[in-house]
Amino acid sequence: MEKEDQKTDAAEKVRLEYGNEPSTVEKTAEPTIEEIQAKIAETVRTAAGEHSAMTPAASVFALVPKSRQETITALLDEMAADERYADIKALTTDSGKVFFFSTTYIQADEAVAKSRIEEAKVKIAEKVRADSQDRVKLTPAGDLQELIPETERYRIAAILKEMQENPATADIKMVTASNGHVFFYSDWHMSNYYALVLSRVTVKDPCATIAAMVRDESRVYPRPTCVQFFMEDLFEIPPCDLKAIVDETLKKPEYGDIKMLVHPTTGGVYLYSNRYLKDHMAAVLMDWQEVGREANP
Amino acid sequence: MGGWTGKVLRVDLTTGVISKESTDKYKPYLGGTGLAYKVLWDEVPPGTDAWDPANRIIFGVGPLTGTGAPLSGRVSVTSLWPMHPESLPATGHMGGHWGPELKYAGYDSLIIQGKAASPVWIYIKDDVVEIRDAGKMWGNGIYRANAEIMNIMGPEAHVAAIGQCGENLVRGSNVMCDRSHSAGGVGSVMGSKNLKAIGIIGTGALKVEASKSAWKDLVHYQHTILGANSGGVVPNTLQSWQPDGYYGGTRWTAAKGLFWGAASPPVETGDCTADDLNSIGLRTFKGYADFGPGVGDKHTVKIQGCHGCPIRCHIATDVPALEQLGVSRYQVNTCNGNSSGSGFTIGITSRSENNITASQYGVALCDDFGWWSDYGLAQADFKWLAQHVLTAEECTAAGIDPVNAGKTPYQYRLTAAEYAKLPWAKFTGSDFVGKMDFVKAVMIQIKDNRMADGTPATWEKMQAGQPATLGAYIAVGAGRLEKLWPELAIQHQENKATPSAINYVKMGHIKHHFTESSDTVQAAALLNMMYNRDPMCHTHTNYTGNGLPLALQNEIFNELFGPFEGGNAIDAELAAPDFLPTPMNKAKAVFAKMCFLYMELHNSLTLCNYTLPGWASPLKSRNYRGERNLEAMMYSAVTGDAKTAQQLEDTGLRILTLFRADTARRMNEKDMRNKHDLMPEYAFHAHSGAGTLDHADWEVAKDMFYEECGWDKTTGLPTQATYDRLGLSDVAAVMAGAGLLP
Ligand code: SF4
Repeated sequence: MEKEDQKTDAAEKVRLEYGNEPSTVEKTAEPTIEEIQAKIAETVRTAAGEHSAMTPAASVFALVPKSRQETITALLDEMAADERYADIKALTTDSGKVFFFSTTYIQADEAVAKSRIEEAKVKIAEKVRADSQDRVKLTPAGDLQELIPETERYRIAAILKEMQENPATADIKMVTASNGHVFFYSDWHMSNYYALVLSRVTVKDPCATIAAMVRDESRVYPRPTCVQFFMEDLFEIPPCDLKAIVDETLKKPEYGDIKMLVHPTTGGVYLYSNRYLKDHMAAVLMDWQEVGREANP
Repeated sequence: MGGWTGKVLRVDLTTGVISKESTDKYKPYLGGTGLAYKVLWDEVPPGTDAWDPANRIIFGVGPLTGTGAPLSGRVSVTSLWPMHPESLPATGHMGGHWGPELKYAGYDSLIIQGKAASPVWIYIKDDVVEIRDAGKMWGNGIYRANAEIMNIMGPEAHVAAIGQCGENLVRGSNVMCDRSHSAGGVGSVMGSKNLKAIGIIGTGALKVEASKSAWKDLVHYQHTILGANSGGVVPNTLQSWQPDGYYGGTRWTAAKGLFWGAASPPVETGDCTADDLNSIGLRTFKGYADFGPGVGDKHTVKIQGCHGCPIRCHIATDVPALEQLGVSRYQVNTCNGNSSGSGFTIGITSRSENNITASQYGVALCDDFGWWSDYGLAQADFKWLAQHVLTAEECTAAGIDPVNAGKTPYQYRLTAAEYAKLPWAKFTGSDFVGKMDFVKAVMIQIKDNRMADGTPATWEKMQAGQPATLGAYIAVGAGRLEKLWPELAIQHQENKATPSAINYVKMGHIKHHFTESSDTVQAAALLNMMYNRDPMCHTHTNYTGNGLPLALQNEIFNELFGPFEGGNAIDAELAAPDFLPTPMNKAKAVFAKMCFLYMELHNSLTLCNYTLPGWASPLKSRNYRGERNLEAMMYSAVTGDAKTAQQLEDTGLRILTLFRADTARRMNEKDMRNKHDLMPEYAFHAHSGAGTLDHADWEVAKDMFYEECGWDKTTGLPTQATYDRLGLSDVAAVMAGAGLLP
């Protein structure tokens, strides 16, 4: 019987005795150095052989278990000296990024050119991910141009397609705004829907954005949308302009399904699409959002 | 068996006998409310009054309490209910750390009976249990009682105490522990027993049958399923990380740039992504949700919680302006507790600085006096009685001489001298400090609970026509007051919206998540008809308020409990023009039943029904599916008694069925369907912001629900077969003897 008498912090204690641990605890055996090296070689060769691609250092490091991370350099040095891995080479670009390749499939001079492209891909992925995660914004296609070597810029569409086909960079997604402008985001850090919303905002047609958002809420949940929602920074609508924009939206024939409701006691203003939400339900749900929820904690 | 300590502690305050008995006979009822219903059924005869020494007050904890299972810090405090005109059984719900401490002291619950000759408190330090003199504490508030007992026992003690309201037999009074955790409605039962407080230190350990690693894995798994308080599994605002862009309608209010502004240094709540288990405690930024932007965030120091709770929903505030009003600037409470005092004001803009100041001023008074607002019914009644101007027709309908038309009920009912004792100009005026003076004046009248002649107020004196203070008329509770003042009974039934809606249900209690839950109108009404107080059930709203699209909610529910033919459990819309829900169907009946059963299970195991069930989860990887077996997995791991969800649900039904039998036996009523399961008239009339019941459909709803439970449709009483199936044949025999078997 295992005993524990432990204070988790000044305010909370948990005092427990536990049942016995199962006598045989199966542990997943850690791979040996040999096995790790073989796996690295296999990964690098497959990328080169099947996709004619360089392998970024991060993908190689990911194959080394956490417990052995500090031995990576030694492990790679050993591989370099081992004739079984004589075809596995590393290449460092001008900006210091390291790539691996197999000379069986990629020649050294070819590798230099490829490494530039691979480097660009890494930079694209880093930029798009940082924009999505840290700045919570889309990356305009134009911003990616300068990350790609001049000689290859005409191939940008193909490079981005390659990225989407490679599992390591498949999180980089494209969204096209209604005016045809193309943007990128990483779906590790930003949902497709959020990217869609941001792409709507880029068109700078706030009436269209409002109508689209209102339709989404009326259709999906369903619920009416409080106009205050559009004061969130992401919509880029100056609060002082919001009323005029809402009024304009309501006047446009293409948004004829968008209707407005004003709460009788609070004065809260709500919009809904009568394509998806009936008038009386919009009123019931508005009342819940405006006063019901607070009155029924 | 793990989980249980094996002993229930009993203190008889009349004889002074302290005994410890085996938990075994209570295990089929788990603990908490289940154990307490069994105690009341076995030991407290029908006809007993809530304040009779023969009544029991049971501080019920369960096999999970104190194990550190997520959300397992709750205590169910069950007794005959002083607010109920017929003293039927009900439960107040208290969180904090007191319940786990009772377990560490070695007890599976505490049963208190009898009445002490003079004020006492109970000292519990493991095996040492003593009844001690509370003479010095009596007459003082909860804060003082806590301080006195901690001076004696040490700062590690956990204290549950009543204030002056409980002592003075204010029916709406509570017992509070750990500063902000209260069990409403039961304070005066302690007061009637001359019991001021219970202090506990427990140094023992609880047994968890699972191995440490298995237990850790299970707790981790449960953390992954949990969302936020009130069941939210998506953030309240549109956030880039939510994989499907779902948002809105939840208490998952954390966001980038949103801070606990009064923390030092301020703490950013930030992106609390679904997979970041270290930020679960930041998700529910309730200070911001309740007090609004620019106010709630500015004054929140942190969000506190009960033992073992990763979610946390109690708002700790720092409002410096309170010092000008003579109370501490630091307060803690949540939900309805935050409007106990400020509910006696009008004209304060919601989500303003004045609003939070008034709220926290009220908290400072109410949490010391130990007042319970009956989930806001007291203030709603007060505002109507203070502001509604009676018409001649209303006077006639209520048997009042129509010459009194033009007066408010208080102006008509109170003596002129009593009416003049309150500073009404401050109630209606715009001066904020004046409004707080008014709150204080009302609160002092409530806690003193006096007749106009200064003697202690009693219901008998009121019935005899002796005048009382306004505070005493609040203290007597809505169920009795409406018998005294028929205009209030009419208002309770009609619920006219001016000046404020009351939403009384029946037998002295208010609604709680009633037909305003427009997506589950019939289930919500069934929940509100069943208990002898507001149902305090959140199973339905926690699930439907999880923030997922309604279609997905139905899909998940159908997977877990279906398939169903004939319609979904959760309604997308009400029919115009009368706001009728879709007709009652099988899925709705099962939904209602599961809401009942899981609430009973939560209150018996104990787990928190303010956040569970975990039927949905925040995880896209699970397609937002949660875990029906969550409670069963925890129970099985702790106790070693392996049970499936369905088996545990049957235990929930056993608990509910015993409660039903006990209620019927105390009412001596065979026709529970028509005499207990009542609905107020207004629920059948279309009014804004809620669904409407249809008389014929409501009868179908009761039929289907009784049938789901194995209860007789004609009477609404459990059948012999159901009692037998649930191991309650002895209960059936008693019911048969009383002529209460259908
Ligand atoms: S969610 Fe709130 S009430 Fe429930 S256990 Fe946590 S802190 Fe207590």
